[in-house]
Amino acid sequence: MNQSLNIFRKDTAQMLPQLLMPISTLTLFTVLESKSWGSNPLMFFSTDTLTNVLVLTFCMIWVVLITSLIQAERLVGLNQFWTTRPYEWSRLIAAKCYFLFVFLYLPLVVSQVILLHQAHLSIAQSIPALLRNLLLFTVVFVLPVVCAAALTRSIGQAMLVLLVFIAMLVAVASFSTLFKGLAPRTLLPLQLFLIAAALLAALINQYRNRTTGRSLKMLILAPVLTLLLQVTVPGTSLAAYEYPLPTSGSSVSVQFDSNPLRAFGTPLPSDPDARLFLHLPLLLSGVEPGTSFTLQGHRLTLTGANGYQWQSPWLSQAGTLASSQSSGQITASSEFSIPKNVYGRLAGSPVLLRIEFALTQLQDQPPVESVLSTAGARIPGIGFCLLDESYSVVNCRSAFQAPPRFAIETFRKLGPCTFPDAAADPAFGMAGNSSSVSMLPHISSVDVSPLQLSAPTRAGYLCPGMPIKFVEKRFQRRLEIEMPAVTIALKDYVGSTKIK
Amino acid sequence: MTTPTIATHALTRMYGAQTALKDVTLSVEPGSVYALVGPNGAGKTTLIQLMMNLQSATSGTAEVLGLASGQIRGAVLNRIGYVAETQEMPDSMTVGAFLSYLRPFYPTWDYALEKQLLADFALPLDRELQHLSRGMRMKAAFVSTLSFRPALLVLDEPFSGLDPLVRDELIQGLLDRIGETTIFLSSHDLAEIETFASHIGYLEQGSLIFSEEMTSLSNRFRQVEFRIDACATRAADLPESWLEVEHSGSCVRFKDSGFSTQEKTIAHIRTIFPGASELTFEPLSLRSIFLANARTNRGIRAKSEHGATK
Repeated sequence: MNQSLNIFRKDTAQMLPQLLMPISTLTLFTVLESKSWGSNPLMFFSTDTLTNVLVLTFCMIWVVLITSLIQAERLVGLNQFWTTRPYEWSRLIAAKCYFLFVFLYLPLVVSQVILLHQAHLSIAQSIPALLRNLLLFTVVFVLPVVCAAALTRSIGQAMLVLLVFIAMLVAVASFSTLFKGLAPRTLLPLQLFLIAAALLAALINQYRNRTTGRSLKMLILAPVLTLLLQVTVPGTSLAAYEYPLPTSGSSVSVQFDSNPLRAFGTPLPSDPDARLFLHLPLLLSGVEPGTSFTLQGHRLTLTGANGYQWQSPWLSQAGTLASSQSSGQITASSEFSIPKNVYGRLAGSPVLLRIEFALTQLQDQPPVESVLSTAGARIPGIGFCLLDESYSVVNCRSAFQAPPRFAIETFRKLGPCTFPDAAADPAFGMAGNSSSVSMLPHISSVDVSPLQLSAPTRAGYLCPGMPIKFVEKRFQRRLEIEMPAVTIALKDYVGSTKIK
Repeated sequence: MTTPTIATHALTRMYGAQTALKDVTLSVEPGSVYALVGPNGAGKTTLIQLMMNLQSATSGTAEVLGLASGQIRGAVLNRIGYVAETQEMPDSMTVGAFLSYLRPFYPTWDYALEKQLLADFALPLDRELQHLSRGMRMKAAFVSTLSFRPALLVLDEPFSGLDPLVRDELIQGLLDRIGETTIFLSSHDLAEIETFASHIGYLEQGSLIFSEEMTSLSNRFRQVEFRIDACATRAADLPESWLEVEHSGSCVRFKDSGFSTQEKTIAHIRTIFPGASELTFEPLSLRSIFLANARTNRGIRAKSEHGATK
């Protein structure tokens, strides 16, 4: 018999009773998860809380099971029977992979496919997201647990190594928040890749050579490399590379709006530690109809009459800079933090202001028109949207993560839906995610985004049968736009609080 | 000239500043039964683990079945059986499941031999390994090792703590394999080893004191006793090959570790004790040889440490 299959058969026979626990937990989760998509609370817990507890339980059980599985052929120490038997290390790893595939990945995929089906989402279209999620699940959960088990001799030690490893990563992540620069889009995937590579190297070394000291060093290398990457690759250079200046054909431009009515200068606070913000009015032109720009980051350069120059790093900034339904000039504004000492040095005389914006350009897709119903409808590019039974919210389901950014237009009746003549106000809203996608894996394959609709009147009912229009704002490109330099008096635009 | 089954050259293992094994050079010929003896902490297990690629050497080389010890892994272990006193086993498996699991690993597994060994050792197939006595566990380890007819059998303290009956059964199992298998074992059980070992190595403080054929060792050691004039003065410098020299009145007794013929030893004694008479020569058991070496070396060590302290 093939050695891997022989080991797999042995592991299965030994762990079969323990496998009942994660499989029954996953089954229960699969049954309950779809019930958490609506607004039907259970008696004490909401179904959402219960499914979260089940996810946590499922993960905890698998930490224990993976540790038992790996430590059945313990890799640390000199007295294991298997080290003097004709095991091939690659076949031993293969056997453990078979086990994880059959008892962890396969049930998980089955559960996720069932949930996608229950959510009326296209399974075929969700396969890339499903595979991406499994990859993230492997890198973020399975690989660290397998590594911790392979480098220790007991479950207690494995837990300890895992906790230390997680603590190191959290420390690195906390440290990285000190860098407020515009985070390069590629940095997190690169860091995850480095962690996965270091974990794999430690694992293979441990199986091949059983040199625990060296494997531990490789494991420690993962957070160290992540940290080094954070420190040595400044957001500025990589981010600037990701947001190229538009080619000559681009017509969009940003100008400073010198209209004095749009100056927001406010008295400065007496508190010497207070932060200062520049509220700068802007004018955008050349924005094509149906195009919108979301802000990702900016860099501000101020040059004083005395020759003193201050330039901020690339700083991340969220929000919509401009959205246009018709051609023409658009007014916009943006806020920028500046250090108080810089303001002190520059406030006395006019300064030359220059701003560079890192933007994401989105393009409206042809609208998808539907009617509100509790049965729901599949909306291309978004997912499956349906009116909640409470008639207060529209929930849109999508596979694994929030859908791309989209706008909704519908009507909200002022009276109960049973009154056919009740007046209706237009209601509109935005949902979805235009920024970077999450790098955390999901056990549930369905993400539910409740649509927050605004209307002139706060109260009202979303009634079945009302028309609803979805406009997907699809990603077009990333670009950098430079605002031509302009001379301003800082005091006319400075304040101590954010306006938004 | 045949390739030795095991050959080590200047094999050294350090743990930090501590030397566990120092320049060990030995050779084990095919078909021989090589017994490695020595006091606790002498480095026997370290030597075996270096040979089996369970540890790596600080310096020096070890070859097993013609391969560098670093290559002792995977398919090579189809030809090497290893049983150690301290070896962990998959405790939750029954004896039957354990043997069924191991069978596909070995192309040379002899099912008939397995059945025979199970019967000889009266092993219950349905009992979990964790519920077996120490002796029974060792028997299960032997069955799982002998059944694939290894070319080399490495045993680290296999009889330690076993009752005489189990010990005899295991030794009988080994005796049946002599000739087809080279056996390398470490043990404290000197009386049993003496009955079947063809070669012996003595390890002390990480150094190999001697390594030779059993017959040569037996021939080399003699218990010598003679009488001298009670008033005769003690000789200050006695030969290093005289171990555990005792004066008791007119009687002098020692263990000669360099014995070749009675005539030569008598001539040697008479150069130191001219009046020596009533000389007797008795062969020594392995246990006595072991104890004489161990005590002498311990005495030398104590003296040198005492000197160093002064």
